[in-house]
Amino acid sequence: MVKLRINNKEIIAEPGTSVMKAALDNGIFIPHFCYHPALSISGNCRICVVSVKNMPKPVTSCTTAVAEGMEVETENKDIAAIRKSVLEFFLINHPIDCPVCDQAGECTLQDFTYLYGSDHSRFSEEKRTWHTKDVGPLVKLWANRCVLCARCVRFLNEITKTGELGIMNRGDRNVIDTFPGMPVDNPLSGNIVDICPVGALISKDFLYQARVWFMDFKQSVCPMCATGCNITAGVYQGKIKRFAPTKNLKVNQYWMCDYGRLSYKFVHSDNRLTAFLTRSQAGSVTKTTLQESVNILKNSLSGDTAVLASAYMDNEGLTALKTVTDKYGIKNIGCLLKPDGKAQAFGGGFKISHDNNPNRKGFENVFGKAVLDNGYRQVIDAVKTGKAGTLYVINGILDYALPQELIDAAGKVKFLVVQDTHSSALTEKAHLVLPSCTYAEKNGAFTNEQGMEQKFNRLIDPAGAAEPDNIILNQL
Amino acid sequence: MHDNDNGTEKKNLFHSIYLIEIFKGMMNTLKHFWLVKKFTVQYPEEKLKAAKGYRGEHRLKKDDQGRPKCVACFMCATACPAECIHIKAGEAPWPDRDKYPEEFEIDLLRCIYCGYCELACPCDAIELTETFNIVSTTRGEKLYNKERLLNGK
Repeated sequence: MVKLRINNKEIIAEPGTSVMKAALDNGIFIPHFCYHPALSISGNCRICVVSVKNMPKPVTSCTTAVAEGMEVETENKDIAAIRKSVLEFFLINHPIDCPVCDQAGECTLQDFTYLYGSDHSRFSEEKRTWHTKDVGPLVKLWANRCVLCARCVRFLNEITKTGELGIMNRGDRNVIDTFPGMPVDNPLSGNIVDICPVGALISKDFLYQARVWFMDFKQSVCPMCATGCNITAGVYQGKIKRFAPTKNLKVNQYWMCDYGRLSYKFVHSDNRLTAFLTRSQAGSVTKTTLQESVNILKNSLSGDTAVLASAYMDNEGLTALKTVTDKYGIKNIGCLLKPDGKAQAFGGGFKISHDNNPNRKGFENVFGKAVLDNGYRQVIDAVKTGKAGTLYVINGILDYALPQELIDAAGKVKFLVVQDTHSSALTEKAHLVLPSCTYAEKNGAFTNEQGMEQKFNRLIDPAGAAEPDNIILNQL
Repeated sequence: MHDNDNGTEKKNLFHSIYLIEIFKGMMNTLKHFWLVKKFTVQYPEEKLKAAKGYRGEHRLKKDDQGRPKCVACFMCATACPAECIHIKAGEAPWPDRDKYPEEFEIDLLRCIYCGYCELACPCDAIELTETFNIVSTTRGEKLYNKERLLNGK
C-alpha cells in the first residue's frame, strides 16, 4: 500500500493505481474527459493536469501512478491557467450550440468551461465543420461537437470488441467516423452515448425529448433479463423518457444493453390494461372496481383452483401469492417463463443473461425448484383434463406473446381470472380482468441470477386503475 | 352660532338657501367643462398607443424565409417563473437547422408578463408586443399555439 497526500488529505492507495483513480475514490474531483474507470488510459485530453511536489512540470493525473510520499495539488493558480488554455483549444472548433444540444445540462465541457474557461473567444478564423450523421440504429454523431477523447473508440474496442468507430485523418483534421458499411449496431451501442462527455454522440431515441434539467431522475432495476442492471430513469411530465445505467460493479459495472435501454416503451404501450373488467357468460364486458373484483375472486378461489404466476412478479407479489395459495389450499401452482435468449459476455465482465426473466431466482426462493420446473406442465394438464375449475393467471411479462397451448387450455375452464399489465389473447377470454402495475409503477424487488435482491422504485403513476400485484393479492 | 346636537354647523337664512354655494359649484363645473384639458379617452373608439417597452401579448418572430426563428432550446420555458410556456421540440425539416418547435404554446392566463422569456431567448425569437387589448370570452382562447403566436391571429 502506498501513502500519499492529495490536497493535504492523507490517502492510501494500491501501488499502480493512477493519481486520478486514487483521488476520485477518495472524493476529490479532478476534471477529465478521456479518463473512464472501465476503459484503458488514453491521456489525450490534458485537462486532468495536477502539480506534484518536486516534479518539474505539471503532470496528467490519469497517467501518473501513485508513489510513496507523493504530494499532489489538484487546484492552484497554475493549474487553473493550464486548464483555461486547454479549454480554449477545445472550444476553437466546438460549435457551442448548447441551446439545441441534448447534452446541455450534463455536459462536462460546459461544466469545466464554467469552472475554468474564458468568457470570450480569441479565435477569429473560421471553425472547421464536419458531418452530422447516423452511425447506428440508436446513435447519431455530431462530429463538430467532438473533443476527441476517444472514449467511444476505446469502449467499442475493449468492451464490445467490435471496433466500429475510429479516429480518421491526422492532425487538426482528426474526426470520429465509422468504417464504410459498418454501423454501430452491437447490443451495447447505447453506452457510447452515456460515456461521451459532450454532445457528439446522441441517442436517437431520446433526441429532443426533454431538456435534462426538467427531468426527475429515479433509481430502478431493468426487468428485461436476469442480470438485473441498475438503471437511472429520466422522467419528464409523468412519462419515462430514457434509461441510463447506474454504476454497480457487482452487477452491471457501468453498462446496460440496448434492449433494456428501450424497454420503457412497453410501460407506455397503447394496449395497457387500465380498468377492472368482468365478462359475463354471454360475453358482455362491464367495468368494475378493485373491491368488487376482489370479492368475486374470493368466492371463486378454492382448493381446485390452478394458479399460474410469472417470473416477472416482484418478490412482494410472490410472497403475497404464497400466502394466498396456502390459505385456500391451492396445489396446482405453475410459473410462466419467458423463453431463454442468447447469453452474451463482453469485455470487463459485463454480461447479458440467457434468462429473460428478472425474478426466476425469487420465484424459486418462494415456491421452490419443483414448482418452477414442473408447475407449468402440471397446471396445463389440470386445466386440460378439467380438474381445475378456476384458472388464475398472473402474468405481467413484458414483450411476450403467451403460448398458444395456454390460450387454448384457458378456454376450457369454468372461470378464468387474468391479472396482467397488457391486454392479450388471454384477457380477451377472461371472465375477470385485473390490471396490474409494471415494475415502473410500483416499489418492489427482484432477485437476480446471482441471488442479489435488488430494490426498484416507483417511477411514474400507474396506468389507469392498475394496482400492484401484492396490493390485489393481500386482500384475498 | 352654536353647534347643534348632531355636530353640524347651524346656518342662518342667507346660508341656508345655498345660493352662493350653488353658484360656486356651477362655476367649477363650467370651468372644467370648457377650460380644463380633458384626459378621458373614449376607449373602444379611441385608443392610446402603449408606451415603448410595454409588455403585452407575445409573438414569435420569423426569419427572412418565413420560418420560425425559434430553435426550441427551452431557455424561455426555463426562465419563465409562471411556467406558462409549453414546447415540444422536434427535428427541423430544413437542412441548415437541427431543432425546431413542433408545438409552442403559451398559457396567457398563467403568464405574468415579466418579459423574462424575451431576455432569455438566444435567437431573439420571442417578443412581448405592445398589444394590450387581449380579451377573450373563453379560457381556451387564452392558450396561444404556435400559429397564433407566429401570425398574430
